[in-house]
Order: sequence, then C-alpha cells, then structure tokens
Amino acid sequence: MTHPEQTALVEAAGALVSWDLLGAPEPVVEVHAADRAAAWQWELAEPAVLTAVHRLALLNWARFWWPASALAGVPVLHPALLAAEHALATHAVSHLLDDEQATERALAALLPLPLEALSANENLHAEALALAERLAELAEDFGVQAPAPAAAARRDDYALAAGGGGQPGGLVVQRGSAPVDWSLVPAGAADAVAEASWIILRRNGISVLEASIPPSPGGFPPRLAARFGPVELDLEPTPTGELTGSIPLPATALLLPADQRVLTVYAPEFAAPAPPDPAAPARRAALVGFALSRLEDPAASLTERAGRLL
Amino acid sequence: MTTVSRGQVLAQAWAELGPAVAPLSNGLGRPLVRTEKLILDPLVLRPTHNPRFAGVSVRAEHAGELRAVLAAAGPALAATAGWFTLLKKARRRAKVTEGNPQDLYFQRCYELATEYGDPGIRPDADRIATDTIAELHEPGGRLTVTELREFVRTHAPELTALLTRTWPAPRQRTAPAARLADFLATSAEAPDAELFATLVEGRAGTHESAEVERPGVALGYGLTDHQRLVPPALGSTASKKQLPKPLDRSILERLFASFTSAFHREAMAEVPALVRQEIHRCAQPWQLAEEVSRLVLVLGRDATDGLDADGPAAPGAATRLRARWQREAFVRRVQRLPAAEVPERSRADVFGVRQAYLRRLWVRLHGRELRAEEVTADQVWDLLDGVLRSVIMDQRDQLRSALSREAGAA
Repeated sequence: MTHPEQTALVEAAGALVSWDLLGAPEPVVEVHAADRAAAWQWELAEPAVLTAVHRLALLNWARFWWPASALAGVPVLHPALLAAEHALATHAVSHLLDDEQATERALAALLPLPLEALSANENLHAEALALAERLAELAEDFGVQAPAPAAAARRDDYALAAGGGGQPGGLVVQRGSAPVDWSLVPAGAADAVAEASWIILRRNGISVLEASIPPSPGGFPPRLAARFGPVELDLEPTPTGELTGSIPLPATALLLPADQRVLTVYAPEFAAPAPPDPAAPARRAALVGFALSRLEDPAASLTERAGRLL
Repeated sequence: MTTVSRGQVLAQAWAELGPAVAPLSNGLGRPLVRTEKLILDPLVLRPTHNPRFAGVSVRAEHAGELRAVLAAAGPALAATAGWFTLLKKARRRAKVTEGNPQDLYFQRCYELATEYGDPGIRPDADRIATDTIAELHEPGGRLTVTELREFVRTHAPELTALLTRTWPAPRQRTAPAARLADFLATSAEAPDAELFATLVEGRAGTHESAEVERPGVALGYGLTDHQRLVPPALGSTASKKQLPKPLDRSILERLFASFTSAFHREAMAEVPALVRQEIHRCAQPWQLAEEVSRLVLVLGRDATDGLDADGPAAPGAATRLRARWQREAFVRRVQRLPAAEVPERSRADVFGVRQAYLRRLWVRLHGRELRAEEVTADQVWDLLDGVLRSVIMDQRDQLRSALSREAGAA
C-alpha cells in the first residue's frame, strides 16, 4: 500500500481500488472478498467505468489531502463544488461501492453552490450550472433538498498575514523552523507548505519558547498544539490569523541534542505528536506539484479548475 | 462447468433495455443498487424461486435465460421507470419532502406498471400518480407512532401487569452447542444449511444466553448499561436521538425504533398485537423471540471475539471480519480521520467496535423479527459482514462530525 497522503482510493464491494498519485497510472485492485468483487470487477475493463472510478478516487483524495497553501499558490478548493462533484461521482459508480448508502452520505454533505462567483468565467459558469442541475435531479431522486446556490461574493484574495510583527522582546538564543506533518492535523488546518517557526528567548533570566505557524488559507479554525523536546504548548489564534504560543522552558532544554530541538505541530484529539518522517518533504513537494498541475488540467474536476477563480 | 458473472449478464441485459429505464439507473447506466434490491431481485428474477439466478455467478446455460427474463420484463420495467418519473413530479406538486423516493416508490411503481402498463399512453396517469402519492404519504407512519403512544398510555395498567407477569420467562435447560465455530468457519463461502438447522433445533442460541444472565456479561457486550439485566419499563416517551442501549429500552422505545420507514411498517402487525409481542419478546433469551435470531446473535458474538485483538482469529467469518477491521485502519488514514486520540465523549462509541457491532446486530435481528423476515443459513454471512460495514461507516461519520465540532468550537 502506498502512503495514505498519495493514495486516491475507492472502497468497492469486496476490494479496494487505489491509484498512487505519484506512481503508475493504473489502479491497484486489492481484492478481499472475491465473490463480491466478481460482480463488478469485469467492468474495470470498460474505459467509461474505469474513468468514473478514477474520478471518484481523485475527488476523495482532494477532499482529504488537497495541499492548500498560500505560500505555494495552491488555492483552497471550494467545499461546495467539491461536495457536489463528489456526490455525483459517487452516484455514478454507486453499484460497485462497498457502502450501499454512499450516495445518501455524499448528498448529506452538500453546501450552497457558488454559482454567482463563477460567472466571471463563462465556461466554468456553464459547467457549474449544468452541475447544479444534475445535482438537483439526483437530490430529488434521493429525497434530499439540495441547498440553494449561494449569492455570496468572491472570497477575498488570500493575503499572507504579516509574519513576525516586530521584534521579539528578549535575547534570542536559538531559532528554527519545521514543516507541519500533514497527517498530524485535520485537512485544511494549516498551510500545506508554510513552516512552523520557533524561537528560544532569554527574558528576565528565564528561557521561553515561542512558536508560531502562519494562518491556514482555508480559514479552518483549528485547535493546534506543539511539542518541543520535553514541553508542550497550545497554539492560539492571533488577530492576524497566525497561531502562536509560548511557554517557559526548563534550563536543561537549552542543552537538548539537536535531534530533539524539533518543533512538532499537531492537533490534540486528532493525532499524537510523532517524530518527523524523513521521506515526507520530497513526497509532499511532489503532491503540491501534482495539485498545481490539476488546476490547469482540462481533465481535472470542475472544483480543481475553478480553484483559482474562487 | 462454465459460469459467468451474474452482474455482467445483468448489466448487459439492462443496457439492452435502453434509455427507457434510465430513471432506474445510475450515471453509468447500471441498475441502481435499489433497483436491483427492490425491483429486480424480489419481483423479476426472484432468486429464491429461481435458484439458478442466485449467487454471484450463473452457469453459462442459464445466462441466456436470465437475459430473456429481463428482456421479457423490459416493457414492465420501462413502465416502472415512467411511473417513477411521474410519481416524483406528483411528489413535487404535493410538496412532499419526507423519505427516500426510491425506497418508497420503486415497488409501488412496478405494481402500477403491472396494473396500468405504460403511463405514457394513459390519459389518467397524472391522476393515478397524484392519488398514489397521497396514499403513500397519508400520515400512516406518524399515525402509527401516535397510535402506539396512545395505546400504551391508555392500557398502561394492564400492560404493566403483563410485563411483570412475563419477565423473565422461565428458562429451560438446554444442551451445550459445540458447533457454532464449525458453522462460522464456512459461513462466508459455503454455508452449511443442515448444520444451521441443527443448531437452531438444538437451541444453541438459547443455551448460550445463560451467560448473559451472569452479572456484567451483557454490559461487556454493550447491550446494556447495567450489571444485571433490568426488566424493561413500559415507557411513555421515545426520541430517536437518545435511545438507550437495546436491552435498556422501554417497550415503547423498542417499537418506536423500528417505526422508521413507511416501507417497513407495512410488514408489521397491528399496534396492540405488536406491543404484546414485544412484552413477550423481552422476556425471552437474548430478548429475542425467534431461536434463529438468538443463534445469529451468538454467531456474531463469536465471530467478533478478538476482532480488534492481535493473534490468530478463528478461520472463516472471524478472520474475514478481522481483515475488514484491519483494513479500516488504512482507509481511515487515507481519509485523514483522527487516529491516535479521539475526544473522550465519543471514545466509547468509536473504539468499542465489538459492542457497537453486537448492539447493531441485535437491533437488526429485532427489526427482522418485527417484519417477520426470516434469516436463512446463506444470509448469515451477509448479515454479519453488513453489520460491521455499517458500524464502520457510522464511526467514520462520528469521527468527521467530531472534527467539525472541534473546528467550530475553536
């Protein structure tokens, strides 16, 4: 099995169908109940079916791992478009899914579509209208009320909150930065690329650790914490959206070996802090590249192609 | 013997029916899961009467016949699709928003198709559709809940007396059932109907119920919050959101929990009989009325023993369920769901997988009893597997909503 971050997965009846986003273009089919899989497995030989399953897999990946980043220029995907396309893609292959209620579950996540905001681009707008129409029909078939499209204005352009914001008060003893491990925070909780920074200050004879991470482009208000050597601190949002925290350090912390002077950001009640994965930076850079390529790919979902517009 | 995939034959034959059946198909033109479940299987192919059409593959010589059966049903299916479209329109006109139209109307549409044929050539089709919607959405389901409350309220003294007299029913000694594991070993691939019948006859489920009479056992299974089973109350209120553990539910709550869809309600007895049956059911081993249900519950208990433990699992059902549960860890990571720590309040719901499993299995078996649906040997595995699947899906939903609550709270 590939790393979860690079796996586009569909849970089919009796088998997992997955694509390695950074690997071969063919799916890997892991059968665990041959009898159930036999009912649909032959269909993967049909290009239309394979495409539809692949489409759902990619949308699943986008829902969980899309690396939105102001720094890397990867826009946040519009959650309503994503939910809408996901519901339609789910329904298209519903007969081969493991969960018989998959379409209902997907429909339950619908949000008001940003049709007005898309009117700036004629093609995308037309596509979105068609999407809304198909969605309304599907929702009706399942007795679900599709939410009325939002008349909301375009989201403001992302602005990087001013980093730093003045001199730290005290004598800087050490400083450093560390990437945020994607799997330790919920989707959208942190900028996928921006690093968390830390400083150790001496102030009035006490060592203090200050940590901060830039705001998440998605505006997901996360509850995050960080671990540094022996201490743990909560990161609280500042008015600029940045998350910061500080904590007094025991004197011994200054003597920590370099491999322990590492800041690990995590979301409490989501994951426990874990040591950095040496393979992560390369893998994540590749996934950011993959996401960027999707924005311009005519074969990508409307959600991805409209990413820069919304 | 050459066999072909039943799904493949079905898909091809379905495709030949053309666009007329599109309202019963998904985006790829395959029959919807509900089309197969509610129309094709019970009304057209009827695998219980035509065992050659049952199973995931059919023998080559039967494939042609299956195709012919479907082709012969073509006009009826096209008419069914036509009625479904009309019924949806009528539903919109009547501003009905309750219930899933496929669940509620599919079978009715097939009936309409058989009775009236193609709605396209009937001038009164719209009127029939309007009447059908009115009839289907008569406040029947609601009425039943009201009726149920009213009946229990007005007959409370008599029903309470019956409950006291009945609970618990005297237990007969039964012989130990040693072959539960034998059935589970092959239940997924080749269920042994004879062995299943022997287990039912030998009252294996009843025998195993002796253990839940011991303190803490039913609690450990997640079926109750009490050390010892407490006689159920008659009850006067029920809310779908806050149902207690199955064996702690009042008579009213047990019945209320099953009144969820009008479709199922039809198959159930009248209210007074239903309440009295429930009072008797509570007094029985495992609080289930049928020996078959008790047996399946015990099979589920054994198949999930050690579900989330290390070490080898028993062959067959237990191994398969364990594999599904282990795969779930990977799927959850792919879906970026909370892994290491789960909010304290949902910890028990999320990690007590076996308890959640046995609760759900009990509720399903109870529901089947109410609707008088039997469980046959070859349905056992689907039931056992389906329960774990639905527990897993619910846990994921819970984890996701816990995540968004976290986000909202911050």
